[in-house]
Amino acid sequence: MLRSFLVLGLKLDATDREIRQQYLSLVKKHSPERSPDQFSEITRAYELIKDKRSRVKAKIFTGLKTMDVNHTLDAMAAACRFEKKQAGLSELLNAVQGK
Amino acid sequence: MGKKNKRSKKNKQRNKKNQLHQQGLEQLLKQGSQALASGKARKAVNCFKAALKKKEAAPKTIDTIKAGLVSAYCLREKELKEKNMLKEANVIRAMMIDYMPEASAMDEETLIHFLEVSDGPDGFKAYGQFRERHGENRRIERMLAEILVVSNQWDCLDSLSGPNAITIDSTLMKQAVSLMENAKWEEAYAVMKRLPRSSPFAPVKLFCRAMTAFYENNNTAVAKAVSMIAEDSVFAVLGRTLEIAPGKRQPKPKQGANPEKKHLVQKKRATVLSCLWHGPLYLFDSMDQLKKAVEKGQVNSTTGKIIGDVAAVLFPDMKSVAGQYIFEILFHPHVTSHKAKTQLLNLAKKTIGKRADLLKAKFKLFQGEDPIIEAGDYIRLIQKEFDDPEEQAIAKAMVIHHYAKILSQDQFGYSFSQFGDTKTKRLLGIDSDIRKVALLEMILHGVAIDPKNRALFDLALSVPAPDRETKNVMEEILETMCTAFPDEPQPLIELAWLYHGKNAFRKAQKALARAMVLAPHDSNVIDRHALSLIISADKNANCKRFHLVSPDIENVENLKLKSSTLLLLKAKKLIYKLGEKPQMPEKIIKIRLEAMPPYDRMRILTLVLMDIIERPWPEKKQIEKKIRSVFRDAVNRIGELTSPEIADMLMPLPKAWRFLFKKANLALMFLEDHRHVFNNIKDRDLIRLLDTLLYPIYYKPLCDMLSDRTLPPFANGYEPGSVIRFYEVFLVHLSGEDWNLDLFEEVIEEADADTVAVLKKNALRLASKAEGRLKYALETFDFGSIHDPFMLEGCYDDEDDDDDDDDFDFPGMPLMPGLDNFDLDDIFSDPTLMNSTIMVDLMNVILLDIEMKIDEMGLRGKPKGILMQKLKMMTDSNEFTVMKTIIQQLSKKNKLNALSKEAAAILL
Repeated sequence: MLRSFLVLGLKLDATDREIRQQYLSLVKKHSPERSPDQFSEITRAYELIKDKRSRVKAKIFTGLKTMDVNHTLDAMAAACRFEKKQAGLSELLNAVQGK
Repeated sequence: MGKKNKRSKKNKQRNKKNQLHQQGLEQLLKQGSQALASGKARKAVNCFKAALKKKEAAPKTIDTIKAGLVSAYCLREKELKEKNMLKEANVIRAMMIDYMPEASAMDEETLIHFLEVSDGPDGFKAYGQFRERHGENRRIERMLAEILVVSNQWDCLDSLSGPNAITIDSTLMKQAVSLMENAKWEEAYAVMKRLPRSSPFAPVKLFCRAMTAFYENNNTAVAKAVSMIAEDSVFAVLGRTLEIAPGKRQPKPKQGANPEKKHLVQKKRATVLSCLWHGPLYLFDSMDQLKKAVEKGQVNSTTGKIIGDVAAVLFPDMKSVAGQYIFEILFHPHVTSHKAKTQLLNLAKKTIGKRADLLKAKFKLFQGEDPIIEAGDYIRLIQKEFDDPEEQAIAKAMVIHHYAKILSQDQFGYSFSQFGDTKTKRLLGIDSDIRKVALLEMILHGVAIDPKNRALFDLALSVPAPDRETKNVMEEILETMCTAFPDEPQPLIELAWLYHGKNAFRKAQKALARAMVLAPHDSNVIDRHALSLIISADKNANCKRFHLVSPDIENVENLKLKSSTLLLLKAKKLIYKLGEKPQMPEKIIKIRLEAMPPYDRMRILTLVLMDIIERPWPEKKQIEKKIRSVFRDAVNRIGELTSPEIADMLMPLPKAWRFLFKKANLALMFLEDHRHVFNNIKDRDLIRLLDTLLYPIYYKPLCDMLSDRTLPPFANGYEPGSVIRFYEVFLVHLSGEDWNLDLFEEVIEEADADTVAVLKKNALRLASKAEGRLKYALETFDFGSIHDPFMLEGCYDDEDDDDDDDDFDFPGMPLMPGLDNFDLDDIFSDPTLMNSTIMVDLMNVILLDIEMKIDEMGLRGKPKGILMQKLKMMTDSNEFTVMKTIIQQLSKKNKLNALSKEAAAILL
């Protein structure tokens, strides 16, 4: 369940509307032709939490039904989204020089 | 002791120095160069210093020695800086500067070393002097160019006299650097486009190109640009970081690298990544730590901290919520003992605060002892998990469904009076102590809270409602369903069928009429409508009110029916005709049926026969006799039907027809009186049929049929396949005819690899119908290892025919009798006995027997309370207490096979 929110880049208290909007925006970016694997992942994540009923079910039962802990933890880490930061030259040079 | 060691170390060093001074100049120079080449800075310094002290050194040689010494000091300074010993590094630098030869006397390597550690102006000045003697040096100019860009001290160029490539490009570069400082990489690259490839600033330009491509998400261009940057450039290091995907496990530094250097490389990489990316960069490392902690069962504050940190990184706004779910993922499968639970919950309290209560309640959802209490406990805490009232209602209903499902699967009748308390029962809507009624009351309460919970309705429909009380509750549930899903015909159909069960035909008709309005073209709705009319006709026919039968039948004929219902209608019409005119000759019946296809004919006759048996008419026997005669003739022509047709005909009647036929098991009729019909069914179709007939009432007749079928001689070239033989052996066991698992092995041994795979699939499917050892054998497809628990190697001498041997008694109970006579202290104090393979084997076999008992009694998945109740006879015995204690001891040493959840509940 946590993974679904991570894949979609949402907070845990996201509403139906927010979830839907984010889902549509992501599938536009990762269409099935361009990135089929990501599209599947995004859609799977969406189906699990798309409405209140699904979210409630996921929140109550998903954690407790986890059998492969290692895979789940890795999947959660892999689901995290990253965004690029604008970095200037001094910042980068200071970082590489350990300043 | 410390002082002594220090003294001897000093003496050693002094001796070394003396030895060094005794060596010749040439040798010292050679050793110094070798030390430099192998990176031994200290040794190199000592060698060159010693060489410098030699009076015979010529001025030129002194320059060479100084150059070597400067290089050695540079190397040493680098080492110290890498170790973060900055004060010491500065001291070395000062010493190096003292020995600095004239720049004109430096070679390229020495000058490079000098540039790496010097201030900008010094470096430029030194290059100026170097250049006068040796000419331009591209490599050094590139380094100087980098120094300018990194330090932004462009006035250093004043120290470099004369025209040079650096000065030429400097104006352009100042502009570019200014843009790069403000992260305007694309613009900076546009400025630098004019720079030639030979420019000393080329690496900077390439790096700028890489940064531009990075922000354009063009990984190919990034890689290309980075590959062209000189390896020794600081921009090469930066460039390589651009190629690292964030969040992935970081590549490990090469083997053999200095461990401190490794750490520094990783640290630098990490710092640069954090400049380029927003997000949890080191999450994989934290996850790896958590995995290790779970593996080792480390429920401690370190683990708690990692969980807290991970939760905060993933969901900073709701870290305690995220923390709770992480706890659930990590620990739920591993929490089997009370001690483990307590440890875990204490840790959870420290990590996630009040949400630990929720965790406690949720663990019990799958591991609990009293379903009523646990359901109540979690429902009372639901507001902690869900803020929204609608979500709270949905959650409550889901929890009710979860427990209602568990209770509905209990074969022994969960005792509602024994478990739970009145307050909690009221919370769950339970009034009655009668299991089936209480179960339906729970479901009704759930649908009242959340009428859209489909699963609750489906569960309700699976619960039998045989009597008035259960039917009344079911009626409420279905009426709620009809209101909750007003556009769906299915709830109305189910309600109609409930009404039929209550003999409320008008209500049933009304409900179906509503369904017809909602879905006039739905074949299921039409079918049920037709059946309802036929039910009505049937009731009238029973009372011989045939004038009332006709309108219903006419209405049915106007509907578009499924083929099976059409045949039913024809059968019923024939029956009603016979009821109206019982004197109808047999010949007429035959003529009516002769025109029909063989399957239709056979089907109708079968239905008519099953119908007439139950009719209350006075002429029933007379009609039955005629029908049986016609039926016999038709059965003799069974060869006119195909194998699939015969199999279809023998399938149990649809559930929806239960108000039309008291008995649905028409196959039984054939098995008892017309078994030869099965000879016309091919193996493939027979297996399909058998799968629908695996109920106790059929076991013996099917077993007999299959025994005949697989007994030679075989007619018409038929050879029974392995799958049929497998089914035969299965039914032999189910019917109680025999118990010999070797029979399965015989079938398997004769089969080829493909067939064995098919048998395995079938075995898994058939296991759901079996219990105990047979179930276990089918699930594991292992029919050889299930042996008597006391037949251990070395424990029983097969050749000993002495019947009076009472060392091992085999009462058939899964315990070792006489075990309560063992002195536990004697057993535990004897490590040889406790660790012996015999003891471990014995306990493992007893455990296997307990597991099978749990299966046999259908206790798999049951809560602890029920397990203890049903196994009370076993668990109350003294022998069990002794065995339990031994098992607990051996479990601590991980010597025993893994226990199932149920076995752990009663043993640990």
